[in-house]
Amino acid sequence: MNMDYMDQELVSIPFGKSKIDGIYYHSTFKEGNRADGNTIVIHVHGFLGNFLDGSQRFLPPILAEGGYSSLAINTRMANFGLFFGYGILNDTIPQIDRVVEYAQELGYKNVILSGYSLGTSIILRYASLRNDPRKTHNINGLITLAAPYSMPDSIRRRWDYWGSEPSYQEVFEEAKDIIKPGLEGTGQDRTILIYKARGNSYCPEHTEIYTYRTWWHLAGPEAKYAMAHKKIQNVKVPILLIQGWHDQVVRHEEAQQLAQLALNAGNKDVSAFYVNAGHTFEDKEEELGDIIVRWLDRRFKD
Amino acid sequence: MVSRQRKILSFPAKDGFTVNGMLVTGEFKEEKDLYETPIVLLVHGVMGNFLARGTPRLLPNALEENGISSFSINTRMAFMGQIFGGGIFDDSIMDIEAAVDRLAEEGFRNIVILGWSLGANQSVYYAVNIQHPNLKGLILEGCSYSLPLSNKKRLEKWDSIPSYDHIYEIAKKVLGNDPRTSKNDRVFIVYRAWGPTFNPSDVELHTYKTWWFMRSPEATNAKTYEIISDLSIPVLFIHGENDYAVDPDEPRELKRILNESGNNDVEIKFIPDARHDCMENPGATVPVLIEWLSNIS
Repeated sequence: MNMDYMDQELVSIPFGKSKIDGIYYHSTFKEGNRADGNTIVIHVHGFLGNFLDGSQRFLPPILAEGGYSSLAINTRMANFGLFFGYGILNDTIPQIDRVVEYAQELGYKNVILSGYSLGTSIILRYASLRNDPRKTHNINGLITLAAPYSMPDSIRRRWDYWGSEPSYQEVFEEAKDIIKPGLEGTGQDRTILIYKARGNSYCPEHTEIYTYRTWWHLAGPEAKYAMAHKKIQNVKVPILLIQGWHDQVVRHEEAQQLAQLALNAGNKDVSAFYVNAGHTFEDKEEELGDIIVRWLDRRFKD
Repeated sequence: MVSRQRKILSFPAKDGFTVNGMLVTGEFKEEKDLYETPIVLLVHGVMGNFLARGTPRLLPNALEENGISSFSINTRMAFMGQIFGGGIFDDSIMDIEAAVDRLAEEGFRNIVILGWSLGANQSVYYAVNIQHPNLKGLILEGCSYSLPLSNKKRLEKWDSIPSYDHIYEIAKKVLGNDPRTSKNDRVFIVYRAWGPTFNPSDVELHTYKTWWFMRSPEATNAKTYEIISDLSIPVLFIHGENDYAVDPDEPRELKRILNESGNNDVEIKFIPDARHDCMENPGATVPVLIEWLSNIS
């Protein structure tokens, strides 16, 4: 990690009776014609991820070299939130509100949200709600990395492809029985394993774990908050979508479809880039960072 | 003047696993003070990490306020290691080894490991196998006499589904004759492992392989009572008086084994108004640690 361009600090952002953990990467790069320090990118992790993993970890130093600070956070969907019942997508919204406030308290004028995979569902849901520039929680841009067109469709397609055990339909039926949607106060829930969800074996790496409730709100056919295609149409700020050509999880055309929906809805600043990479952007980290820095420069460099 | 540090470090264990750690140090007049003062290497509990509530989260700041540095690490047992197969108990000492080596390379001469819960059992296994000259003692918080025995007792108490014996039978079939090299593994759920309901808060998740090396009757290195007699460095047990997970007799028995093997530099301190996490009562815990650390050099 190149530490020449930044200070790094572990932060715990007060949030009600708890805290939101994150790493704040403060860009100290001053040379030449770089960004002026008014812009920060908030990074939201993917499926079971956290701020020590993947793009949350490798992007901040690259952006710092471009003059952009970062805040990589753990939401309630980080790590094993999905396994024990508290990782409900819509419940991340107040957390993001608090992190945006925190970024503004640090003095940043431009707050950009960046999400990876599952994190794109979170930030698109957020941006679709907070799209009035007159309100406190205003954001100035959105970056999606490997955004599924619809999380429920993506998960269903993958389970059907590998012949998951139990099947998507079986989990749907069981979930209705256990959590009784519409009667959320019943409090019933249970942890479940899905074998052959990510490949053709019973091995741990091909297994997914949810509770019926977390599944319902992220992957169930009625998980409307996780349907990016429904949310992106309400996003008014500039959007950058980046997608790997060889992504095994999200089909490459999904980025184009999402971009088209945003444009059709009247957003005039929508860009889509393709990188010769898979779902994790492995070995293309610098290229990914360069695309983002250039996109930020054009819009937020004074 | 050496200024305050609070930074995340990443470094590889010898098999390539990336260990992440948080280094917290205070201000020191001179560099030699920083390196001579004891530093506490913190190892988390089951599915924990260096920000998990309780000791991992609270202790580094409390130590810093008292002039003691700390280095909290995430081993391969952190987060979902035991659920997706990477968290093999025996291998986790490579992570502690890498952290001790890293601190020693930095110049720290008086290293003490504080293992909490599972981390205490890992720390014992490390210290009986690798004698680093800069390792000056162990602090074992909420240390179980035996991880397999603890698991068996707890699953029987709550009448788990499946039962401990049933898991063992299935694990033998899944893993075959050589669990270490077996390519066959699978995630499984134990319902009613932590309480009487089927709710997510009462379940436990493992793979058969991670369970085998941490919780099964074959998990020799997690049976701390069988290996602790080889420990010859100073040991402090701290234990919540109201610990519901590990009986107070367990550290007493481990102390007896150590004393019988000739290690007489062993203390036990019971912390009032604390359960499995002694930092539920920092006012009692921190002075105990500071006093004990003051004798380390």
